[in-house]
Amino acid sequence: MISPEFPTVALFGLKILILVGIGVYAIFALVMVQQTRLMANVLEDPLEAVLKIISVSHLVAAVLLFLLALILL
Amino acid sequence: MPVLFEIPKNRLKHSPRRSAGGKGMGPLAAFAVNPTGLRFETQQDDETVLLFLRQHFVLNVPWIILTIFLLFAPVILFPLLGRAMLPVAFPGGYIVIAVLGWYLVTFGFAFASFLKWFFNIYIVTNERIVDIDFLHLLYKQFSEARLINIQDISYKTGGIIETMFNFGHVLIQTAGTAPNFDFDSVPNPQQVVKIISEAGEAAKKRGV
Repeated sequence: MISPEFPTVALFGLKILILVGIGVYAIFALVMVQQTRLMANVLEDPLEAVLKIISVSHLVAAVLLFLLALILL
Repeated sequence: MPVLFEIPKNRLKHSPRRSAGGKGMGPLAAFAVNPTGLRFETQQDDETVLLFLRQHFVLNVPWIILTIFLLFAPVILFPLLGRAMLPVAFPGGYIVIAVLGWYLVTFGFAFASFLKWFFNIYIVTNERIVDIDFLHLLYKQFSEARLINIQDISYKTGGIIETMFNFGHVLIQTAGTAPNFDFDSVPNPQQVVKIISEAGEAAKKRGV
């Protein structure tokens, strides 16, 4: 019969998996910032500043989620 | 002689993005003839942009629908799945991180999809055609061909969606080892062919 609560070892393994996942995602967000910056240089467009802000905000959110996961999990 | 009518001065002012017979381009424009206020990386000083193209906006609809579904999934799907498949109780912190992570990834997916459309552009100038492909986040491709090297140009449309929204593929064959171009799913393909043909003839006359 399955226990109503997760065993501590399983929770620790899950925590590591989640942290690694968020870390990889943060790297993806960093690549997105860099690529947005490069593409904005290719085409001068009024929306480029907005896109840069959005991509940086996305990266900041990923890093904050990583820190929050470190604290909460 | 008394002046009967004078155009208000503020009506004479042109926006920097609307002048010289061209049209100021909206930020999400997929088709713009003689756009003003547009510059790209390798544009020469004496080079004029005749046509700016992106894929038709309707191609964004699938990822927009998927994003809307993903936005509502945690509210509708997770409680159902949780009861049916997870008889164990997760600590509250895991639930919070899972929900926040879900929305972050959903946003990342939508933003990456938008960037892929936004930066996948085709430009026709008075000297050359330029194809800038943003295939995915890690891959960018820049191709160009001189207008005088264009040998054959054709377009094809097919299917309900393409016919209904008037978009299609413009195929441009170039001479020699220069790559052929496929302007994929661009609006008004017949007009695109006409503009490129005329620009090509003009370039051949000028010899550039």
